[in-house]
Amino acid sequence: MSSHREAPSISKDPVADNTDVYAFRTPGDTVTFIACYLPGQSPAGGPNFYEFGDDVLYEINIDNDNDAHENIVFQLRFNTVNTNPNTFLYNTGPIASLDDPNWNRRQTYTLTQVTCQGGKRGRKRATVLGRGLTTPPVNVGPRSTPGYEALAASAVHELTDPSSGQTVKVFAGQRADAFFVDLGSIFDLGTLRPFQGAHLIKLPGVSDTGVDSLAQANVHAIVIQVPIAMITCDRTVPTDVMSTTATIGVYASASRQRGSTIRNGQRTSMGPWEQVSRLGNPLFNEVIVPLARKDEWNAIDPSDDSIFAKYVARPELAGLLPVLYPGVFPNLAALDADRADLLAILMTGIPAGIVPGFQNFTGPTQADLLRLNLAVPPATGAPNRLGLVGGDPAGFPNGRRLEDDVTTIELRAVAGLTYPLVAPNYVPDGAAAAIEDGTFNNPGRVLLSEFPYMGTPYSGYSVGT
Amino acid sequence: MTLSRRSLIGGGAALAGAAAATVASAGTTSAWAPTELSATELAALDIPVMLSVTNAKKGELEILVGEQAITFTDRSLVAKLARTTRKEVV
Repeated sequence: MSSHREAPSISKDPVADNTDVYAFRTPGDTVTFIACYLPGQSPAGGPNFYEFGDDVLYEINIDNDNDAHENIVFQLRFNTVNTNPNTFLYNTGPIASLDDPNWNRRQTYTLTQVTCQGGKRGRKRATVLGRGLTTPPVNVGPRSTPGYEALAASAVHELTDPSSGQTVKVFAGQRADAFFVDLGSIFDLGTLRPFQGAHLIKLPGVSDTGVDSLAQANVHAIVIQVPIAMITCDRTVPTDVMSTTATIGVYASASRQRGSTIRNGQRTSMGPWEQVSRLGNPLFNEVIVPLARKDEWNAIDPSDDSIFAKYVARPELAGLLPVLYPGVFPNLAALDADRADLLAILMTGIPAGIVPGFQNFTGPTQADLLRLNLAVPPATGAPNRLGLVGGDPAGFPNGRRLEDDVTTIELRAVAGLTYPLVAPNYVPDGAAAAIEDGTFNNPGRVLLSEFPYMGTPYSGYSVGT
Repeated sequence: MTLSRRSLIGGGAALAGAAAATVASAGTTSAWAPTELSATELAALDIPVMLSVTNAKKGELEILVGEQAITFTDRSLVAKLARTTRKEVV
């Protein structure tokens, strides 16, 4: 998955497991950041439904001066209360509002904006943007959470940044997972169902239709929308795509305190925060980093990512494709060079002069950051699911929208489709422009046209019926 | 002997007890000089505290409290902890 259960340690700690990060321009010169956690939720998760962790520090980190160190951090800390000590139930009747006495298990949160110089280890100034902010309940079912859309909408908060007077919009709660991928197939020896006839191991008579493993799965999402001028280094809205100050680098993270004890059923944490999960570009840790180093990758700062650059330059998957699909990728099999295209896309941003009229270069520091050139306006029509590769510079790898088919984009890039950008004489294999996992057209996948953009979570009552 | 990163004590009272015991046995070189804690000092330990040995050979310890990590060196305390641990484990 993009980063669902992508490393041994974090796969055992779903509350802190960062699954996806999105960053895209939205109307009114705003930018929206989405960070998802708690992967693969079965909507029928009662009686103890999914929730954020009170002992986890959730952060969306933004670098706006091209040094791979965050300058602005949005931090969220949650607080959970039981309102009724005498019931085993999440709710004892329909939940009609966020203060309904029937709702027994509630979470609120504090949103803090931290400005940093020199990253998190440098000087910091924290501004609390909101306290006691409500989250919606999970989508239990039509009897418990009727009118769920209205309930969730009431958990959208508009806050005022006291220093700038600008409005910040925030939502935190359960959402339908917007990511789509055929996990069951891909992790069965790299099978892409639409192309499995060409796979090394034949399975005659099986369907070629992709299966979205995340269809009807929920996640917990943090969605923050801020004015662009609030996060750029010069506090303006960039209009020149080629400007060196137009691009921001984004990653989300989750941290736990260094020490914890369990005594009489009570867990207590103490000490400094240690990062246990992070995510910039989708699938980076999942597909690029070797299994033995995934936990290490989760713990370090993006500014230290150069130690992982060799796995980007010579990705294991590029070597596997010709083996798993014999005769399909002869040019990729013969390619014996560092992948400067992938290094640019994933680790530095694309410099000027590679894609006409576009760049999202953030300097030579190699870091897994989701880079968004804020001078690129949103797509005027329907977004192209292939983003920049499909001629739509408002999409991945220029930031990431909910519609972007990042699995296909990255598969094709690794297969050699983007290598001619840096090596014009290289001819990609025909399959490099065709391969995909076949999950884009999942009919059940619904997004919202407005904030918080991610779809209404699947209800426990309805899934499987 | 290796005790690196092993969490030894959880809870302020236990830490205070260990510190006091160390002072009693190790003399004046310990950072934990007074045996009687003032009310203010006791109040400071009224929140969860964890002490761990980060490098037994060098006598390095780390206290986790609140959102802080306080590192210090006290060979005599490490020795006391090591001996206590060995007794308990054996």
